[in-house]
Amino acid sequence: MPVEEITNLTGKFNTAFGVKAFLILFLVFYCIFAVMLFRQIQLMSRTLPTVVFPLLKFLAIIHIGVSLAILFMVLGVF
Amino acid sequence: MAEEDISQLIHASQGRSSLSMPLLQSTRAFFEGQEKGEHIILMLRPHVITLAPPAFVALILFLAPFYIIPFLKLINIDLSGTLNFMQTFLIIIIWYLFVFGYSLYHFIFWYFNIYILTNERIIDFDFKGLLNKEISYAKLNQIQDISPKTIGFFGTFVHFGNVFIQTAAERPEFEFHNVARPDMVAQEILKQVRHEEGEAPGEIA
Repeated sequence: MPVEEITNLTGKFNTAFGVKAFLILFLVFYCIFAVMLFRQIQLMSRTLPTVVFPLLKFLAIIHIGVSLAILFMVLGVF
Repeated sequence: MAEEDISQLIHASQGRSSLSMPLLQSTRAFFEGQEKGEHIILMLRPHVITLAPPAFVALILFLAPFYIIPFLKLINIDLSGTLNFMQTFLIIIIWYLFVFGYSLYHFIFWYFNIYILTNERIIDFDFKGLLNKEISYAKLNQIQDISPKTIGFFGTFVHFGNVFIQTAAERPEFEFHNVARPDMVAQEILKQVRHEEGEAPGEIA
């Protein structure tokens, strides 16, 4: 295998690995953010319940679910 | 003008969208720690127009893949050689998840900043960030001075501004930020203060 190809292969591997590491780290923090958002909504719905809170809660739960699903997809696909 | 009319007018001026409809109903709502006989007269949030800057940023972020990918191709950066279709697709999905999170955060930030005037006190729910929430109370008989302020082009044009309330409570100053019709809000608070001054100490009416 020519040296150039080996260098290219290493470059590709590093880029994909770098992107994967960044995305995983980003998504882990994003999941924490999503959980905190849900927790705030939950606390506020106890303090001051309004008709929009069930919808907000639903959105926040979906948000956590999608974040986790994407995190696992990144772990699997990359 | 009757108390109900002023309350309806201030609430209505926060917008008539489906999102602000709960504001109209919320005067019949309750909150944690509400005393017996205490009722909500005004429940305010910053004007809906204050959501315009984050909405604009969200729109730019939403459209970003449509102009970033052609721009990268223009400067000869081709991601298709490094990342396969599924990986590129996932990155775009993550981008839109981030845009959704950004929008939801700003909406919640706006939605949780609530100012309440009851027949007994004023309450300020300050949501300063994801980890920073502050709730302050001041009895109406502790209010010393109220000054409404409308600043700037949008404030004057859409009619919203701040209401500064000086109190003798633990927190000396309350600020109702970017509320619709600040002059009417101040007027309503003053009316309630006067009403409270006419009551016997400890009476809730």
